Amino acid sequence: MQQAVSANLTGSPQAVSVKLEGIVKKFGKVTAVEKVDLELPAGKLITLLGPSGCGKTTILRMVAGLERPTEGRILFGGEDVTRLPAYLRDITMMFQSYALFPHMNVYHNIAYGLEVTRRPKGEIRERVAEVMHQVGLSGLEERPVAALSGGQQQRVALARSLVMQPRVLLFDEPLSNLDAKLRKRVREEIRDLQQELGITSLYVTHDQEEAMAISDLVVLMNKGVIEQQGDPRTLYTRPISRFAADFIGRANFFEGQYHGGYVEVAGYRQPYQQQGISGKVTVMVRPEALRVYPSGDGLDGTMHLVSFLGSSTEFSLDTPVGRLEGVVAGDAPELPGRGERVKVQFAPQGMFLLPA
Amino acid sequence: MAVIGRTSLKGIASGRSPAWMAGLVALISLLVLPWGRTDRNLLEFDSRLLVLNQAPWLGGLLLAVVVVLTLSSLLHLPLVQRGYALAGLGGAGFLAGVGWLVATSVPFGVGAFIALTALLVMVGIGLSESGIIQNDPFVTSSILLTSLFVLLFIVYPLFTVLRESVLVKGVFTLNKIQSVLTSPLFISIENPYTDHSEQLLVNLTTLALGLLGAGLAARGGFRWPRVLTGLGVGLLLGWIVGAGIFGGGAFPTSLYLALIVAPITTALGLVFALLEQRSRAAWVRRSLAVVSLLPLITPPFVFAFALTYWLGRSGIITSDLLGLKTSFLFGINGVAIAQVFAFTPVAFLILRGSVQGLNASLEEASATLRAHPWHTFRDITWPLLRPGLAAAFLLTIIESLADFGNPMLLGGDRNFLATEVFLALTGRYDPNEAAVYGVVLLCLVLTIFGLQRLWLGNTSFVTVTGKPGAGNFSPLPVWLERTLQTILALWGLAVVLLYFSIFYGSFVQIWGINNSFTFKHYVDLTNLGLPVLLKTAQLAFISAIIATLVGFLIAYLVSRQQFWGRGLLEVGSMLSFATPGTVMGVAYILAFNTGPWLLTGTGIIIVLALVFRNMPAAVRGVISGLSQIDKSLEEASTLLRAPSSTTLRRVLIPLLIPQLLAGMVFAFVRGMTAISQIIFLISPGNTLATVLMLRWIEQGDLGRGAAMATVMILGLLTVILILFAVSRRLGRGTSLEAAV
Amino acid sequence: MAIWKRNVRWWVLVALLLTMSTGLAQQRVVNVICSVTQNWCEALGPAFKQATGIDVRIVSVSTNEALARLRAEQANPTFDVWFGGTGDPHYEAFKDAITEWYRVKAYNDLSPVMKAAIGTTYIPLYQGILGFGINPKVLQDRGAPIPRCWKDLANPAYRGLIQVSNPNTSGTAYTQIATLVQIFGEDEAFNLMKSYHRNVAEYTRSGVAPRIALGRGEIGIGIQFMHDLVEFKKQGFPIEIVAPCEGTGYEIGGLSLVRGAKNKANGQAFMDWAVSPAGQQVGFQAGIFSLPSNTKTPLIEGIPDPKDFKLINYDAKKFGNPDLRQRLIARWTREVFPLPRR
Repeated sequence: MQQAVSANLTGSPQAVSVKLEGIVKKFGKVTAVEKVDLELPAGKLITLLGPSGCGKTTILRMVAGLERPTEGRILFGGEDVTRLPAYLRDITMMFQSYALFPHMNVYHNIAYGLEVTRRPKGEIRERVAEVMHQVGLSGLEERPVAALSGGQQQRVALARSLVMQPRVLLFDEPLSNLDAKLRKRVREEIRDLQQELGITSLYVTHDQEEAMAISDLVVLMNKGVIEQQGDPRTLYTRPISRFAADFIGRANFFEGQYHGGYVEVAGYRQPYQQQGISGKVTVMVRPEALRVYPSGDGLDGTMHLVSFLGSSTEFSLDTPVGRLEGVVAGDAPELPGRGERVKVQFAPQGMFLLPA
Repeated sequence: MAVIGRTSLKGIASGRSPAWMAGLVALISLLVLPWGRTDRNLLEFDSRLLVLNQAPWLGGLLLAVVVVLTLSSLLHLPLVQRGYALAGLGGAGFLAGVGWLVATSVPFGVGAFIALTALLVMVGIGLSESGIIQNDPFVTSSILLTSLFVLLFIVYPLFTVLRESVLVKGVFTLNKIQSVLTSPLFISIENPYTDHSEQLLVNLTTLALGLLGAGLAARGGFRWPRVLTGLGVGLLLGWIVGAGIFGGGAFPTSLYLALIVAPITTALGLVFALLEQRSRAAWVRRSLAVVSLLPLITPPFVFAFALTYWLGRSGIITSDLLGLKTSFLFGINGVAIAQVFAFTPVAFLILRGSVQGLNASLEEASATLRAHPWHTFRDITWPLLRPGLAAAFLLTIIESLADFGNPMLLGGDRNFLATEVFLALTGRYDPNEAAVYGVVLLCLVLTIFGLQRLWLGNTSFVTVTGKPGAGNFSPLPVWLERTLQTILALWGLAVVLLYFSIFYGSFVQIWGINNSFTFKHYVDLTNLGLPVLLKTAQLAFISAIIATLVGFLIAYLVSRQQFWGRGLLEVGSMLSFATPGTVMGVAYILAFNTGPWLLTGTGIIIVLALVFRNMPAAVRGVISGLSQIDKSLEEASTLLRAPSSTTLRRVLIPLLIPQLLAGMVFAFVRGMTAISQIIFLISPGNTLATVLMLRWIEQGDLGRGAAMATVMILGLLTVILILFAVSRRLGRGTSLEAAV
Repeated sequence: MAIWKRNVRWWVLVALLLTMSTGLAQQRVVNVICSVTQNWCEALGPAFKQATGIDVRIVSVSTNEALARLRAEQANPTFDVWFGGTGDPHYEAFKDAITEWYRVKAYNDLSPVMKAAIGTTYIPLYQGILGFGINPKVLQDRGAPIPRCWKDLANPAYRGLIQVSNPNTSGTAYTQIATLVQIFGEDEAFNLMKSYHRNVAEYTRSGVAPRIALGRGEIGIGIQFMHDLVEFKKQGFPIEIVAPCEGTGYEIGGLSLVRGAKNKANGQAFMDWAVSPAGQQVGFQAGIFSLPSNTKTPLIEGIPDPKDFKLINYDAKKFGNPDLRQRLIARWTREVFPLPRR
């Protein structure tokens, strides 16, 4: 899979930006997507992230042309494709179920798109061989797809999409049927290929870790609207809502009072700077930003649990603002044990204030 | 740089349109094909019949429209605007063409048919390209075409029946309905020539059963709605039974017959279904496999025919064994017996599904809770069986009401609704009377279908096959199993004897009079029946192919596409299944006998009647097949740039081959054995085997009829066995479910 | 063009379907609707083809059904010639302009009696005489006498032993009703029918049908045309034939040219042939024993000769009137049919 990409497949001259303008989708009386505006820059991988039922798959299917928006427009590189049928949109998609054709072998699955668009036989052979080599399936041409492992089926699906040199590549939770280890490997491979080929990609997932690992831009959705969008780092460090903070990574929330320069939490004054907010706030603190000291300045706390997980150690402690969860890298024998009284401080880079 | 044959970004909004192909076809049919005909010869080529000569203004107009649309399709033009033009102008052209046909009553010719179809396809392409219907041209055109066919060949004929029942010689009147409904052929209760009053007896029966019904309903606690329902049902049944026994006429007779046949058939079906699931005896399973085949390979009224050998006035049992000279077989008794034999396998196939839906673990659980077996049955098994029983019961009622062959042979001089439709038209030549009978029968059947929907939701009547389920059912109690096995054995013996008598009858000179062996009947059959058999096979084969294709298309559209009127298309396509065959036959005669749609007297109308009769089964089969195919396969294909026609051809059809094959064989077999819907439609050179067989039997050429029946049974059996062999091989060769 | 190559399979399929459908197209032939027995109908085609080279396509249906179909197709007839069946419907068809009169070549040779009875409405094809078919063994077993007269049928000894056809579906039955009305007067005739109604086992749909039950010994008396009984008797069925003493009616089997026939010339050729001695003998070979209309046709053994029976002077014109016909059938359906029998 790491082989050099041949000239034929390098770069995608067709990479286009995708723009959604005021998209609304209703199924009967149920509104699945409400007034979504979104721009996918050419050649980037954008993830739609959100809990199930948030409308992310519906958006993906509207971009594909499998659903028609109730309102709004979809533009590919400035061209309105809202009414263009799916098979003319020049898009391919990786399905959760892979959607491989069970009555065809690997070769014909991959060649299918080229065959139906009536490419010359020689060209089909060449390009299929190339893409199979690229995804590491060479030699399996004659295998019926039912005889492949899950990971191999996944690659056939990927090869089938890539061989078409699509303008936009769509991913509908493609990894959810793989086990955890394989999932990580395949997602790296997908990311590699996507960056090499520079195909505009839209990726739907409910797994925030996957989203952060793979994306140039994450679009967080909730109840049919976009909650927040940005690069993974911004989303993690600057969530605009409790929902965003909670959905992307783990977070502790508690009440505080911001006085400009410091936050007062149950009597403790934590130095912190943030523009455009004041007074009563909700403080968000990532687990890794918890600093525990046996004594000194800080929020009063009592250690509750300490669990060593190998690469990290998780702990929880009770404070006047409730139970807080923390994590430190590696083993941490210096952490006080259960029941011991401690002082807690917060690292400012892991903190964010939200309006109360 | 190799670029895949993709539409450029500019090419999306404008470009050529596939409509030019349809345009070219329309152009040819406007210029060189006949639009009308003087006769039933559809392939008549006479320059006077060209639309340009028949109606120059219309021809010119259509020509102009088609030329404009074709040329514009060949140019790179904005898609949306041209789409509107295609839809609008094409639609106007289509309507103008149809309007002309209807207004002038010229029987349509090949040219009109092809041109109008092509125009409709252009409209479909236009609707797609303009985005009015977001779908590809193939789907939009298919929607329009299938809707047109369903309208023309199912809805329109039924509408004609309704119209003829109230429109006598062009004048609206309810007199015909009144005169038919009061005629003694339809219903007669009081008979002035007897010294007792039939009306009184009927009233008493009605009242008795009404009170019985109310009593039964009140048993579980007195609640007005329940009791009133019980009373109502009881009164209704009471009247039917009373009028059936003491009165006469087609209406009470048919209902009474159905009420006798349905419970017996359903009970036998349940016996067989239980045995199949829980019996350990190998012979039981094997014989039940044969039972499920019987309805497919037995031409209608063959059982009735065989019964006369055994139970007729000089039957082996009635006359030779019991020494009776009785005509008890001719009338309700005989028809009921024949129908029980004919419909039990159908009830078995339905109940087999619901018996297999029973959950073995539930019964085991109940048993481990120390429930008495009777309680297990009452509380666990019975509620699960009830929908299946109701479905089997109602379906048998419908089959019994719609049955034509058995009452025709064994009805004696009782009247039945289904045969009265036929006799009114052919015996008394009164199309209006036939239409009234048709409407009555149709209303009854549709009411029962409505009841079924109401009670059972969407359980389908058409899908009667079920796969044997797994599970360890507790075996039946020994005494019960013995009893059920005995019933099966007796039934099986009777069936074997009936078949044997047909076989035997075809090899003796004159059954019962001169029992010497002869091949005479087969020689006669070869001389007289062979061309007819071949013709029947030809028509049935063509109709099977078309029925399967159209059925597949409709199934695909209604289960995989979203469009306005989808539900209507589904219901419309199912109507012909619900409609009794004789009613459909009369409807076709009335609808296609004159005017623009003149088709009677041709083989085509027989093919059409068979197509639209057998299509619903194909639709159901394909829908259930499609439900097992993940929709994302089609979406993947679409996104790989396959238009839906390609997706159908390359993905769905290969995956559905077993269902399509089964559907086709089923349609062929049903086409070979059809009688009620086509007995009106036979014409010179288009006589069908079943009709000929009926006529031979009616005129006393029993041996020849038996020979025909034997040949048909063996032929159909061969066809079915070949299908089984083929589909088993297909089943082994691919493991479809594994990858989906 | 590539499209031709690529879709070879589909073109082959289309071609196959087209070839198969050509069977549905029609050639130039004569289309005959035939209301005599199946055997006779089936024998006509090959014989005519041999004589003239013209193909015959035959649909055989009962007389009433034939009239029904011809009437239904009046605007666009499928059929060219109507062969056989009782005369009354032929007469009615002529009156209603469904058929037209055509003077066949052998017209001068046709029986003057038959011609006189029907005038120029249709061409007489044969004469069939109404009679009783008897199964002596059945009657003997019951201890019942052989019936000699119409009035004998009311004898309670015949309970359940008689079969007669139903006028709602059979032309034979109507000929019988008309015969009784002409012998006894309408009311008396209906009283007679009511009186033997109790003895009727079944009113059959087809006029030929009673002979089946009769031959098989299921009934003792079947009322129908004698020539059909003769045929069955020759086949080996134990039956005898009786002519009622009060006199009996007869049919003059009809041959008509359908008005607006598509193959008129062929139809006329068929009619010419059908009343020629050669054409009429086809019936004999098929086992038909009705008296042919052409006096030059050499007769064979077994044909019931009108001279041997007491025939009434059947008024074909009066009783061919559709209004009278419908009234009599309706009266029968209302007054006779619903009477209790068991």
